[in-house]
Amino acid sequence: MTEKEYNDCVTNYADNVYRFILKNLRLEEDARDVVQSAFEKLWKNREEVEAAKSKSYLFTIAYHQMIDHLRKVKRVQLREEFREEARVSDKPVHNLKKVLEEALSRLNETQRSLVLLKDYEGYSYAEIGQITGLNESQVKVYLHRARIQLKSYLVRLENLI
Amino acid sequence: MITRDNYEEFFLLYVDNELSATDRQLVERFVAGNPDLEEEWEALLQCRVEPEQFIFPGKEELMMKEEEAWPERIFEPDLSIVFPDKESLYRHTKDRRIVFYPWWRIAAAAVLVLIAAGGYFFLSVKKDTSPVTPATAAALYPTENTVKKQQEAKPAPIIKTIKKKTEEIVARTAVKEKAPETRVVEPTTLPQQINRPEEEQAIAAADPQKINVGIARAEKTTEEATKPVTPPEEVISKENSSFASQALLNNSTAVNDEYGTETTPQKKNKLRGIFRRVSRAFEKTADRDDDNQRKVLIGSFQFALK
Repeated sequence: MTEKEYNDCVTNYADNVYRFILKNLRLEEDARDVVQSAFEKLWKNREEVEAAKSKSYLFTIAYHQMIDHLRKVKRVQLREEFREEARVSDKPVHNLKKVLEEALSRLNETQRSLVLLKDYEGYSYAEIGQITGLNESQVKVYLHRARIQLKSYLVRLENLI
Repeated sequence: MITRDNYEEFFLLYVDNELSATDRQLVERFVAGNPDLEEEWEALLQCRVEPEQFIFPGKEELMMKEEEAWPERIFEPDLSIVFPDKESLYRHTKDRRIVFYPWWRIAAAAVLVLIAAGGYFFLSVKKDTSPVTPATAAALYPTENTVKKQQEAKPAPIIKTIKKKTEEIVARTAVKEKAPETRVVEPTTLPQQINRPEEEQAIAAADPQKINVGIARAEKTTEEATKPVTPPEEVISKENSSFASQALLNNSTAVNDEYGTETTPQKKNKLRGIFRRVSRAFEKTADRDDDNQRKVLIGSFQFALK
């Protein structure tokens, strides 16, 4: 991977990695740190990384760093989720997009990552498996469970209204 | 084939965009044929998360040039933050620290020690060259011969001075002979003053008749002085010897002191002392530990045994 290929990577994928991480962490500063350290690692390992695989390499690094970060701040994260849950039950959200985001935030980080990698980046099961370290059938099963969970949240909310 | 039993998986695969174009058409046709499943179908389609447009704010910072090191901007250490109670964290074990020296360190230390020891010996040998000659048994323990020699060498001038003094006394008494007045001298004092030529003058001055006696005595003392002091007992008994002989004796012993005390044996003793001290230090401390720890203590160092 040359200097130019690396810089192209920044131009083309920095936003993608950033939104993927930001959707998971929901904190801009943390997401920014994770993206920066992912690109740092890509720059340091550019000799070993092929240009064609640079995007999935970048997502792989970023995903694992994000998981590490989430483990560190797990307690804080849980408390935030409780608060949001309370808020949702108090004031139902009618906007579909917002409801979906609420539903997404209720998934665990693996499921959420799978959905985001699928819908945002359009990765295949196999590619998602490479990034997350899961095998293809695991990705399929986890992703399907996540969809059903999202759907049931939406349906339940509609029934409530 | 898609049926009412397995449609859910087909729906999900459709949503995940994992179906071929023909399979997608099959699913769409199946939904059209089963309107009761349309609601579920629509709900699943809504579960796709539409990609939002996010702009990463620090893209310029990520752009790099070749041979450029990654800037330390992510984690900048705040050195002003210090742990306040470091004292409480310090720990000290009672055991002495075992230092594992690699072999070359020991070799270097050995070479240094050898050079230092060699240098010391070289310098000390050089210093010794000048006073080596008189360091003989004769000098240390003077025999009769040496004392005699030394005394024979010295008496000549002393005899001369004594003779001179007697001449003076003769001259003075000759002058005093003319003087009529006399002084009474206590006879009891005479025997005590015999050995002192200065007093002889007074005696001679007091009694002109004793001038000859005085001269005779003075000559006697010179004879005594010139007499070699052969027996050592005689040398030691200072009361019996004359003033001149005492002076001689003192002189000779002083000479002996000069040769006897400041010679090489002292140097030898110094070295021996150093060696003794070193070996004592080693004997005292060089000991294998009792508690089967495979290490040996030499001096203040501990060595591990293999």
